[in-house]
Amino acid sequence: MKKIISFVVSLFFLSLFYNSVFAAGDDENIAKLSSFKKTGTAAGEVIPQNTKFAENVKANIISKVNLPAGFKIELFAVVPDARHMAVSRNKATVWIGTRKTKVWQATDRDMDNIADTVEQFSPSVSFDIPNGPCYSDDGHLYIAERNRVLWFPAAEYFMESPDTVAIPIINQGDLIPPEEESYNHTARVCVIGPDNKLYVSMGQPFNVAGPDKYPLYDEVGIGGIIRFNRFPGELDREVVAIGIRNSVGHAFHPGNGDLWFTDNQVDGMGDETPPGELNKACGLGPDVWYGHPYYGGGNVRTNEYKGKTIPQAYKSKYCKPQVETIAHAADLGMMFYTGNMFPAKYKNAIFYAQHGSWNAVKPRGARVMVTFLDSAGNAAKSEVFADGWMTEMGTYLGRPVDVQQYVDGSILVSDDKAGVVYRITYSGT
Amino acid sequence: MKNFFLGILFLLFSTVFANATADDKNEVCSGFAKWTKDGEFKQIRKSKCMTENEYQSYLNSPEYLCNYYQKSIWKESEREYGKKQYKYTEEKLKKIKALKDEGKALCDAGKFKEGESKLIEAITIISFTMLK
Repeated sequence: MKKIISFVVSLFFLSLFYNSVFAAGDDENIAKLSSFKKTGTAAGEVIPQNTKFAENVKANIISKVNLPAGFKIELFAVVPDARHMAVSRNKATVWIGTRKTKVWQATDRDMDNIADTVEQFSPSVSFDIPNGPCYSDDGHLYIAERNRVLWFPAAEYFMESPDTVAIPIINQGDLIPPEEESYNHTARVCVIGPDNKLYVSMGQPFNVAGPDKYPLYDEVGIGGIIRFNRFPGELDREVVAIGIRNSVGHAFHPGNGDLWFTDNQVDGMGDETPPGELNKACGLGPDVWYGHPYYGGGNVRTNEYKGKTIPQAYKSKYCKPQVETIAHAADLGMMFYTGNMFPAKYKNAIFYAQHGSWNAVKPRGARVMVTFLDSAGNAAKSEVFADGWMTEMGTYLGRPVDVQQYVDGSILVSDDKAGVVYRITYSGT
Repeated sequence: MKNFFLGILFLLFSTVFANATADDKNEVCSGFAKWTKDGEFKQIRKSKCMTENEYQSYLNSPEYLCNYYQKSIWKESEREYGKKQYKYTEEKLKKIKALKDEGKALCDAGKFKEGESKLIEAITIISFTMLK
């Protein structure tokens, strides 16, 4: 009871603070929401679930997916443009970001581990590429947009209303300089670290950026990962990784706290080069460099920087990838498996989605990979966990984007082509 | 003895034929289909296929990078969809096209390395242009 009172009191003071900070105009709704006021917004869009489309997905896509023995895949929810996901703590709601303007919430109402309702989350907020939701153990939802980070305290409890309390942690235009905004490479992802800070990956808005861009990018964390305090007040923003081209998936090892992330690599070098990457952070700080733009993936030098000497400041802090994945597979969302449903060998293994290529003669990706770690916490072996989203004729039936663990220990896979979320379970039979 | 040699020849021929058939069947295909709003899965672009052997020949041919770079430049700076993705200026597009034409001419003359260098210059301009 004491905790609830202190939480409500702190929200009250926050509302006073934000009342004084926000101007009217574009921020009007956010100012109202952060002050516990109604905006008058109507209820958001609802996505019908029991449709011909859902039946087609089951018949034409799900039936084609291959899994190891004992595993089963089923439709969890129809979610248009489904990208990265965050799973709630108590209500089994899943928030699903998009690269457009909406965030969806998929909720299992009858407790069969399949979503019964998919509704637009917080329709009173004007989202801009809200790709990356993440959820904290203490019940706070964060959404990383193209150029803003929003906090939704107690989202599980306010979510049934179109007006959900929403407070910017990083205001619109302050995540990156607005002149560096782009549509491509701006699908942000976020995660809460063992240090209780919020980590956000920020792709750089080029295929390969010119050298003139790097003083700014390294300072701001574009083409890198940043962290900051996840409650209002002193932001204490820091760059914790640089030299990344476009990471759209990261997670902390549940045992040792190591940060791992995927990185999409350079286009235009060849059908089978350069490799994609799964990286383990060699440390958290602006000095650790992951190779871009001098390396285009793995140890392949980019054409753009091939003749140039790698600056000593980078070279001495170079952290090599742990896994080189096939070129142009587009490794995106990732997670560590901590559940008890899957066989023991999957405990603490990394699952990650390969979205699939757009520029290779031989289509590839469109699958879920798993990487097992050795006792030292390094990548030991990678293999295909789920595939079949691409036909023999090279047509995508679906394109997996993210993998997240659901409350029962199953895993959810989002697919932004089919516009659905799948659930993979293990029964062993 | 004659039958023995004929038998060996037959076995050899059968093996070669079987391998060729297997490679021919192992095709590399590229197509495109998408869902319509009414729930139909519709083929947008017909699949184009090549055998695995053809794919390997394509990758290992001396003019591979010449062709790959030209196609990449076309996709990113001439095709409407590609052009829309970048914050190009007209001047940049002209420069890219001129370098592509120079590179193509060198490639067509069998000067692959020189042609690749010109094409990489064009690709570098594309790479250094900000995405929209």
